[in-house]
Amino acid sequence: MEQFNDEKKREGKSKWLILLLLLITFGAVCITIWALFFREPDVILSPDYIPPETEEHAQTLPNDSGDKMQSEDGGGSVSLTYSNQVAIDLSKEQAYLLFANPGKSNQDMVLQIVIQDTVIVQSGAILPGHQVLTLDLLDGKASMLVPGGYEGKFVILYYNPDSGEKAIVNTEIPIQITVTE
Amino acid sequence: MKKALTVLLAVLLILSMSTVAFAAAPGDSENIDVTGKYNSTTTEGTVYSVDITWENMTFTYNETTEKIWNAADHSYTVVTTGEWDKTTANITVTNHSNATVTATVNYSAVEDTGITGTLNNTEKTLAAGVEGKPQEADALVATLTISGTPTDAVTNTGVKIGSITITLS
Repeated sequence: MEQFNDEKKREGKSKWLILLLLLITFGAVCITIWALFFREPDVILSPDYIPPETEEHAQTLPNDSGDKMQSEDGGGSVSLTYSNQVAIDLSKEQAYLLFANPGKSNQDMVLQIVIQDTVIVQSGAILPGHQVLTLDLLDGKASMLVPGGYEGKFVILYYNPDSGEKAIVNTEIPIQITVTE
Repeated sequence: MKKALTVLLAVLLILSMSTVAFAAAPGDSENIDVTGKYNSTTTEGTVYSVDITWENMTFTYNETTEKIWNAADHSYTVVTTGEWDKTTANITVTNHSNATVTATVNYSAVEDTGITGTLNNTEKTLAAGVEGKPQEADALVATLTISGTPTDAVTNTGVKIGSITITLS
């Protein structure tokens, strides 16, 4: 009788174990299928028209005369003031930099910070006569970084202030990025 | 039977827990980084100041079709000629920094437009600015030259046929 009970208990345990294994297997297969076929690619597209919002961290450039550069009708003129050193604070999810679109430019700008082909920062519109010293990291990008040094680049997109259309010309600047916790 | 099923499930579990990896197929190329080293001691970060100007980058291809009446066989001979309103546009990069800047200009064409763009004078190391002489700042002038006959992909409202990237390093 006791032996019969033991056997029954073991049988019951085995059933639960099989059920648990089945559930875990099913879950793992589901995750694999999602990762292979349904996970969205991690891509940020550059806007073809100027974003409607101006960059919230943009400040007026001090001592800027605002005298415009000469520009051919249909052409463009921009002036860039920048440092190629950028610091990122992971706890605040912010980048600290120096980038200005002086008043003599006749184009609005959008600044991206790119590391290994991944856009981690994309500003709003930076109008002539403004600078940014701080920019927010895009959602979820802080978790892709670890403390240390990275080589990256600024990608600067220019937009006609009247039509809002992106110019045919853009600029890339290699930068050194220091990431801290 | 149960033991066999348990073992089978355990094997399935181990297999399904493996990480998804994308292996290179035979014949795929493999990138090997080549590292160059450059030691520089800098007491403070340089602030760069660079001006970029570009001329009108709209190029218009004007096509004229002429139908010539052939009296002998009562038919038309169609003669089509075309030319660009202009074929060149300049891009100028001027360095107003107190440090050298290397400017590189690159043109990337959109495919299937039938239009070719070539740049001359694509790279130059621009000298640092001289104190009190902003008008003498070193500059690179690159010229984009357009040629070819547009395909049907190019419309009369205008389409993007390429883009120019200026790299400052």
